[in-house]
Amino acid sequence: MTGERDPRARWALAAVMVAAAALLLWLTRTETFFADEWNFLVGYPDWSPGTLLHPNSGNLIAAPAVLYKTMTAVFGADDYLPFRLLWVGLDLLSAGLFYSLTRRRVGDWIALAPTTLLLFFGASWEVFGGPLGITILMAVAAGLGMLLCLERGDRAGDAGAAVLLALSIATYTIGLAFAVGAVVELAVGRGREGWRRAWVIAAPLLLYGAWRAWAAKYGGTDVGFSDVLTLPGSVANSMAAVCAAISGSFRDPVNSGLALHTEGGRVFAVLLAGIVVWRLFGPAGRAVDRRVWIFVAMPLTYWALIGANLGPLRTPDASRYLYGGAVFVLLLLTQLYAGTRLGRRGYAVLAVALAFCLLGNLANLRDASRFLRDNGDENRGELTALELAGPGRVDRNLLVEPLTGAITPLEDMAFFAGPYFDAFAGEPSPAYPPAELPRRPEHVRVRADIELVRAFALTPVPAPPTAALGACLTFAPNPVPGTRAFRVAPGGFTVRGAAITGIALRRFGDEFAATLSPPPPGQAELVAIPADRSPLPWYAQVTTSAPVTICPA
Amino acid sequence: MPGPGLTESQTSERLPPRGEADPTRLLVVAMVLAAGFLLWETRGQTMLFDEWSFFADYRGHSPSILLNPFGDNLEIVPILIYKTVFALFGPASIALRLITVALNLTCAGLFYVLMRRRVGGWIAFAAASLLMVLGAAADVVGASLGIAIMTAVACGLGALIALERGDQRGDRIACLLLIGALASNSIGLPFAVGAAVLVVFSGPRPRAGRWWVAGAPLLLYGIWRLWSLHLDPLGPLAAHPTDITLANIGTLPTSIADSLADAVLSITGLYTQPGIAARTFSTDFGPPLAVAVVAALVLRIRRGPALDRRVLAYAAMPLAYWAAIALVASDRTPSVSRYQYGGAILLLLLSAELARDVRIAPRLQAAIVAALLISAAPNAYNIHASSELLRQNARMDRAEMAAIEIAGDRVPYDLLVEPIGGRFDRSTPALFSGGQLTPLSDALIAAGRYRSAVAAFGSPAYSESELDASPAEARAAADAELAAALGPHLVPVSGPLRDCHRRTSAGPGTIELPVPPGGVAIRVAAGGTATLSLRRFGDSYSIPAGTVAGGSALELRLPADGSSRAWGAQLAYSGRVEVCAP
Repeated sequence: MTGERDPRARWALAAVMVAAAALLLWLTRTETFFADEWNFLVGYPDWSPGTLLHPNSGNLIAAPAVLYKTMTAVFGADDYLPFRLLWVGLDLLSAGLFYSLTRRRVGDWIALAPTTLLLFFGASWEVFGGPLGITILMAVAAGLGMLLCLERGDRAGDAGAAVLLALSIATYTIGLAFAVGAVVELAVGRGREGWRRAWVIAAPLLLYGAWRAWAAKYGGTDVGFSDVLTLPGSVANSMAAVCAAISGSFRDPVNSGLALHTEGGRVFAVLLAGIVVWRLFGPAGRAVDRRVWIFVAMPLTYWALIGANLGPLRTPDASRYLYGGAVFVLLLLTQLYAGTRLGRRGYAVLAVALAFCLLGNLANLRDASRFLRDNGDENRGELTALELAGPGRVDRNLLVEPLTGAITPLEDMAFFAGPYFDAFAGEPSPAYPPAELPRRPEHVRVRADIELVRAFALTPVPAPPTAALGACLTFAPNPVPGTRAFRVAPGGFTVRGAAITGIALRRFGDEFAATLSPPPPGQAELVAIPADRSPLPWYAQVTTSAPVTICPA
Repeated sequence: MPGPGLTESQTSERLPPRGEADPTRLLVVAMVLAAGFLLWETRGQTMLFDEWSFFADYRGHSPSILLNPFGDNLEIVPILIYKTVFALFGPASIALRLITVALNLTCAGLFYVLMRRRVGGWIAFAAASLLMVLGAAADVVGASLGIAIMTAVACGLGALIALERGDQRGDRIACLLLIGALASNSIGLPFAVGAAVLVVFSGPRPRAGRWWVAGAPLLLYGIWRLWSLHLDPLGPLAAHPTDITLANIGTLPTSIADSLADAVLSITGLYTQPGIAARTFSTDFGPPLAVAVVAALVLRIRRGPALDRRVLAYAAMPLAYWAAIALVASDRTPSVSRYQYGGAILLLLLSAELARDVRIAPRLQAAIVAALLISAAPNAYNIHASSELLRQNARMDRAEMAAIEIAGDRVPYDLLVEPIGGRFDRSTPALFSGGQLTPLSDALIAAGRYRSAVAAFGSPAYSESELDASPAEARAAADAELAAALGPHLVPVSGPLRDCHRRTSAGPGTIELPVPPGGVAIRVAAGGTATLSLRRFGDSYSIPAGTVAGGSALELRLPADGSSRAWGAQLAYSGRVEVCAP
């Protein structure tokens, strides 16, 4: 288990790390919280153990929950930079630990190639698109640190391994794969001595088992009979997805986008399986270090965990699963080829291969960050609208982003308005200041308008008979149907017509995107719009096939 | 003289290392477990596709019936099996399932013997265990439909074992078994081709005098093929003329490559789709796996010990089989379930023959055994998923057959019990789409022939009480079958109306009423309209009977049949309607 040493390689790694940090920070400018991060902000209202240990889709995520709560308390939720810095730091830490493990096996320069790829691993865009990746990066970094500690083989190393394994497991379920790796390390590594060191793994796993038993009441896992029996297929699909990600062959050559294509990955997966079988069972099989089983066990465990708990949002090729899978596969390859020396030609091939692998991943980084910046902008616009409406007027059970099944904008803010207001009562929130909203792009302002209409629950209701009908305007469409836009007086408007087919509103946006249900024919209907903190007026547009009368409320 | 890289055949058998356990007893345990699993999973099934035709169309014992091709296959042996079972136990007995399981275990046992001689007991055990639950071929191992194919395979495997005896008795047995294989299903052909190659290229005795071992069966088959060209098919299921076209010949390499890929997928279990709890056959991993198999083959030829000449026979068998699939009509795609059984067996036998003289390290042997046993899990699951669908289909079939029997003499003789694209949406048969069940058009038999077979052998249908207790979709299927059989519809009234009840509705209104034995008449005042729908066993009024226009009167008369259950009617109307006795 030795490789070529060259101090210059470390300087090269440092340079790559600086470049990665700069690129990731620049790409994530103007992003805000995304998907599960909202859950940390809104869904964990206090510091009680019951809250922090609450499973998230069956995962124990106590460590990132504590981290997010601490970060929010210290820096506030209005500034995303600390989270981005932490995320980048974890990427560098994880890559550094990976490098430490692999350079021992294949040498400083060869190890640099997979490490560089992992620093820019855009295929796993949910991890590398922004700080949402903190959870997985932290779990992987802790797991890699645990492996390094175990390799020390002394008491201090064992103690460190136990702590880091516990941290990895308490961060994300991928920690269990590292735990299995540790079990194999002790089983194959040092014979009887291994059993004396069993506490290193037993303690974290017992704690996890206790948590699992306690958390069973919350459900969340969906381990299916059919999923377990069809594990070979899902493991193969996971492997294909990871191979596609590593090779950079996952991008659609025609259309840009974040969807993962695994056609090429399947070829590489079969190739990888062939390499593993050849190295383990081929003529040179006996020469392979028995510790290779550690690195066989970890990806298989990880993919089996994924495959046993499949769901519509938990497919083997989900981008968040790719980073862990790639770390495991690259560790396995470096272990299989431990002691390999390359000549100049070999390094040239390796450099070309790395460049090929990086192309797709860098392109995905760019697309992911663009998508997440736009999505973050829209999220902040919607939250601004929500806060303009204010906690007193908004239904506490309003889902901030309703699940319509649309892909863009992504419905990642799947939390209720009440807990959101509670979480940020008197605290800085991720929303824009109201004065900032009119300066945002049109798609953000449109989302804000739609959210504001939802927050106020605006809908036409029968106008009371006493409603004053002064200063009305009458609109007779010609040709029919026709539309009439008008500025809404403070308080709202009433509308009456025999054939109104649509009413739409706008305030911050230029487009009438917030639609209301059309009123029944011939009946006077009131659209009452409450006042809020923004001085901007509302505009309405009526579509009708017959004359219509519109009056201020 | 042996060719390059080929050696004269030896009768070598891989002997287990000293002290290594013999897994034969374990195989017996696996057989018992597999038998229990398969009998449980096939509960509630009834006949499927070809079996309906054997039941209703292949009546009598004349040569033109027994030798009549079924989808271009000579299937006299399975036809005789079915005839015996129908005559002795009827069509609804457990006998067909027991025979299916027995044939499955027989094939596995013979396969084990052949494999063990080449790759040792443990790999043979794992491969035979996988074969018993090869869910990729769920239509064969998970349904009695597989009787024909497994009979042919059992005879073919037996012939190979007999040939390996290398004596005259073995030759005679092999010849008889090859005749049996060819007389059971066309999958016997590759075994006959393999046997011919074995006789020509290997064997301890002068080969010229042994031509008859494979030659006689092939000659007989050829004579039958020519003779059968003048026969008319016995029913729509049996009619599937071979259609060897230039296009099929042109796609031969592609089709063989696809078949190889599908066989590898079946063996590895990598055809399942993650997260999809229904039977599927995903070919996503097929191409790279096929390439890997070819690469392994090249590596074996270049790096391994010299090949025994017998490998030519074992290579000829899958190639002949896949070429046969490629050459017939284009709707027989390589990934069809029933082709996976033969494909997997022949590919595993070839692999074993290639590995005959290769030293397999214990670690590699353990890995191969583990991989084969792991693959049994998704395959067994596929049998489970497939059986669910087949049970649903059986409920539909049995309900429809019950309706045919209730309708009795009034059913047109030539009415197809389940026409393709017929009364339900049958455009996407569930067995092949892998989706939710839509009733499968598997019972493509004439109602008259069905009734005749029931009179002779007994009925596979639900009794009326069973039909009453069956699921809603089965009862709806029975209603649809009754509608097709009896064609209830409104006709002009034939006399004065009496006992009228008037209803008036400004908007749409509905009335539900039982239809009395004498029928019902409907009169609609000018400006109104009424649409009549019927049901009998189903929960919904799914049978349209016609529309009565304003200012007219129509009546519905329902013929008496084998059930005393009344029909129910629903009248959707507007305006003024009168419901009367005709």
